[in-house]
Amino acid sequence: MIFSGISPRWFLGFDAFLEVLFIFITLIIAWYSFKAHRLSGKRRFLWWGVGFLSISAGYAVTAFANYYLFARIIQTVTSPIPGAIDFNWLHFLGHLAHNGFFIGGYLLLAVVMLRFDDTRLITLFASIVGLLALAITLSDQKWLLHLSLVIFLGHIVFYVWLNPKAKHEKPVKQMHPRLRKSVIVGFSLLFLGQLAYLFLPIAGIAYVVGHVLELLGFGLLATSMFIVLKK
Amino acid sequence: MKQKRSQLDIIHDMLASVQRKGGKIKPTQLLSKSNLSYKMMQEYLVVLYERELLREEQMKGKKLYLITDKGCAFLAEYRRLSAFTDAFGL
Repeated sequence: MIFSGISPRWFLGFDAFLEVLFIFITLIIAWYSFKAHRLSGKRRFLWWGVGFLSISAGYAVTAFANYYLFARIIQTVTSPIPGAIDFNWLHFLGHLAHNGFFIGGYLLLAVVMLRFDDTRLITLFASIVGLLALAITLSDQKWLLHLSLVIFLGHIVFYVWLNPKAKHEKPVKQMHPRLRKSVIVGFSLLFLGQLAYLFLPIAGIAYVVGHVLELLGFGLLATSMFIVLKK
Repeated sequence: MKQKRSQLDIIHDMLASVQRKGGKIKPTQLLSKSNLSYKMMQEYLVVLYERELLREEQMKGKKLYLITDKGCAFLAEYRRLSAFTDAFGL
């Protein structure tokens, strides 16, 4: 998830491929959420779409920065000094955008799950997201990002499980139980993936484990979306 | 407690009852199946005509409501939307 430095050497390239894959999966969910908003007029679909779009942008920034910084490192090795200043700026802005998009995206999904549908509240959350992203970037404390995502994903998993039961709109048996289970397990795997990233300072293999868990989680979300679109 | 049906749910219920009857339904049957008052049903019929989801025809001097292709497409999209909503707990 984070720029190349902490990845085991043999995993370089695989992570970039997975990030591109995650961009597509999150974009598909965002696209259908916007379509659902257009059809139903319900704002929670709009926020859900914006949340996934933000996560997609987070992966896009990561993939781009990984590629660009890798290219610049090679260039700096062959011709040092020029470009060193904007390299640092790019590094800072890349991290800031990466942190902001991920925190913003997952927080928005958690907010939708908690059934808040107030633009003023979302504006307040957006400013907190900006501040938190800036603090994480300036302090370079990556564990804070992953801990925040663990908290948001914990809420998402719990409320994806709870919400349909609480709505009482129709019997739970009729509510596509297999699809629901697959989405709950998908978000749970994303939760475990973020939990694995917390162990990065202890063992580099946590980077691989985190990516594999994310792959399985997004894979299940993609399968669920595919089944929805085939209906 | 059961939640109030949204406009989208009511349109779905009306069209689904027409589809279940083989694509055409009598006004009295639509009234009972859609679970609406006569006045409300008339208001929703205007919406359905405007969106070209339903059309009216006279057969042997009796009025019938027929579901259109657009109406069938709406039902398919509603099924997808319902599955999406249930799956993600939205």
